[in-house]
Amino acid sequence: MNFIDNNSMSRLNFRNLISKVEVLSPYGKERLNNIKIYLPGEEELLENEFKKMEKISNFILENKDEIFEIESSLHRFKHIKNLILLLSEGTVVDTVDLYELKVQVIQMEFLRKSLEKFKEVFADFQLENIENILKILDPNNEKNPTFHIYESYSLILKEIRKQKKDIENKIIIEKSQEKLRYLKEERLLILVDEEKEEFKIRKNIASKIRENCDKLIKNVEIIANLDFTIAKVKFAGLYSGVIPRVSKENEIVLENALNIEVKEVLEKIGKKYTPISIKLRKGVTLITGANMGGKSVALKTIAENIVLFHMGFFTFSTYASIPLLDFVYFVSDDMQDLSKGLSTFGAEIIKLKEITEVLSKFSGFIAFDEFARGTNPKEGQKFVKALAKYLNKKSSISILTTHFDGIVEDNMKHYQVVGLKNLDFDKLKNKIASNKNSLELIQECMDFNLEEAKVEEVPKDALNITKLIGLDSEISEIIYNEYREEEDDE
Amino acid sequence: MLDLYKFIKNYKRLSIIGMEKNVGKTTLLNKLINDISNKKIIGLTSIGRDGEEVDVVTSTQKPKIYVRRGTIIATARNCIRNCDITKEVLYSTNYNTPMGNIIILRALSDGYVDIAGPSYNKQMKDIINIMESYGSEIIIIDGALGRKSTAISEVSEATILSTGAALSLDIQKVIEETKKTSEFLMLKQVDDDVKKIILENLDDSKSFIIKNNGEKEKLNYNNTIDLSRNLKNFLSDEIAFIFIKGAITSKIIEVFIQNRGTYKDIKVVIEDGTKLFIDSELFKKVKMSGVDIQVINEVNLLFITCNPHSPLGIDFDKNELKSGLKEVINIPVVDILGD
Repeated sequence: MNFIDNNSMSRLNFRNLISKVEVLSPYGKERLNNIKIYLPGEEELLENEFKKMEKISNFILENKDEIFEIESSLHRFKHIKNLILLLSEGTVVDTVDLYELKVQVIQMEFLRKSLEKFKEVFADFQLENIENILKILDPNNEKNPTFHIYESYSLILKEIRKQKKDIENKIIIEKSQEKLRYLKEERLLILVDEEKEEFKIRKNIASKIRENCDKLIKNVEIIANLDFTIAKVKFAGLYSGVIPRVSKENEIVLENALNIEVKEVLEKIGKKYTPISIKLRKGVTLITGANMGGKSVALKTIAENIVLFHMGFFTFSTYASIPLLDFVYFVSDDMQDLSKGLSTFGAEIIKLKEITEVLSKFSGFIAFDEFARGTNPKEGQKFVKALAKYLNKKSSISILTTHFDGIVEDNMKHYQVVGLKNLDFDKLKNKIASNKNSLELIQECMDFNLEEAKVEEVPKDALNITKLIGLDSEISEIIYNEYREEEDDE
Repeated sequence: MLDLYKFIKNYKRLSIIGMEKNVGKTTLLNKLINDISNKKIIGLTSIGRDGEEVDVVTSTQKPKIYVRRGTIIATARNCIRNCDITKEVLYSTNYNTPMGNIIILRALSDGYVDIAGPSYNKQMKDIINIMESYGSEIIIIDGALGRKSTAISEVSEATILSTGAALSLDIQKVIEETKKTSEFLMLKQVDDDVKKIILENLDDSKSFIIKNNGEKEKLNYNNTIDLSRNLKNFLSDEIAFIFIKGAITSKIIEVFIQNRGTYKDIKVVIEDGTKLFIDSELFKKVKMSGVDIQVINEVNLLFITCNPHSPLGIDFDKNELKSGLKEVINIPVVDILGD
């Protein structure tokens, strides 16, 4: 079982979110593409991860120059994992490969020294000392980031190169074509000797490096971790994330949680974004509320922060307490499934089937956005009611948004979008009369906050919105009468 | 033997181009290397690769360029094994070619090198900078007269053109063609203020029109055939300049000739003379139709080398070719092996 399926990931637009995490090295990038998920039992590990991040977070704030040095250093690494692998297998690599290795070894040594100065902060990121490898690749201790097969590797090579030089000096001044041909033949023979001797040296270098390869591999790992961890910290800083509490209880608490994507969109067009606060426990929690009230956004916000938490990210909230879970499902109608020939409802039922199988063995987080909205309301209402009852008995934490009345039972948690409840309708109506853009005005007046609800009934904001938009009076009248008849029936 | 150093001593970035294969470009290159090496550190690279110097018998690359120790070269990774110099690896770039990424080497001995450099302007500029940062005092770019190649005028300050008997069995044709090519290379640069406008808009679109009132309009097309089809719809007497990026084919030029009268005194601006692929007749005709072809960068053509030997074994009289060229071309003509 996956912690989260691709469908849920794409509904949450999670990859887009993760693309905002800026790693600097190709090794960090690799780590970002294979993010580790923390699962139940790894609470301590995750807590440690958060502690590491906190230390680095504090360090970044106070040591701008030092972090710049470390980051520039990370930025310079090339991806030579395959080369290191070849070396570990004992392959004799060529001069360019040895150059690439030497440059990386110099960079690793440089970074090692930078990190050594802050042993406490970067306790988990101390690199292996590989001075001995550098010595092999820099036999004259020149400290240049260039490489050739140095004459100091072998007296024979030195002698061959001397001969080569002598003959080349003759070639360059020789005028006679015949003698020139003879000299070039002679040079060719020396070239063969040079190549043979260089190969012997490269073989020798390769075997010496092979003995130390595990240190290189370890350093690559540490660099990947360091890069990714710094990137996570900076990502958190970007949207003021906080260290979440790794909870041992089966309860999720989020205070003022943000959905970055929605927040950015709203702020771009100058709109206010309302963070959400919610407390979820095992069993089912329902969110009801007005159309246009942001129920789906709330659901996404919760799911997104839970997934971030499991990936070892800070959450985007002022407070969060989340337990480690086995899985996360985010189910909402999906055009992708529609294109496969399934109706929205069909796709939901197939997903539900999958979830019920998982539920019997594991406990996690499940979010259903407007389940069964695609089918007829009478049946839909029954389905949602049944789903809520079913989920309420399970150890997993589930959350449902719905439009339907009569779902909530006493033993279920229930949140409502405040919506237009506290609004002075007459005032707003006058405003709308003088202002053509009623939709925008309604959005502005909409209170996106969630509040724990006492009433079971879904608020009739749909009617209110219709009134405010000012639908044709004939149809408004009919709608209004429909509502009246229903109330009379009750 | 003639010393070429006097021709090039004032330049830091030099390019050489050949009219055809086997016209003696490599001979020229080796002569340049020989004449410069004891005075300056050479940085050597090429625009892409000729790819023609394959030994027919063994089908292996046979490098023919012989450099002196100290020379810095930029070549593709897979070409390095064909270089028999003692090599110092200075830098490994991220610029990829079909033959691997471009590596900067220093020759620690004399020897043959196999050069395949980058194909794009930006990469070429970067690589030149890198070679200079490692101490090259003069850059030599082995260039090409190709449709897709880098505009040599943008990466080098001065250019040498090689021509020779390999071009045609008819000596008059060799002279005519060489004259035409040198004329194209020396096409005049467009006014500086217009050049500035073009450079500012270059990233935005491949080609565009500048009207008499200063207004700009993009030309959208996928390829040159597409362009030649649509171009006539844009022609009007309000147009002052048309900038066209990339190769200019006879198809495009014919549009101007066929629609003469619909415009007045247009300046067609191209990257440089290496991008013009038309014959002399068409060039004359389009001029008479009121089109002045100008370039963003004028090529500073230093001299022309002529090689009277043909790979087919039918040689010209060496004096006849040289004097014939001198009569019609206004820059020095040298015969590397003959002079």
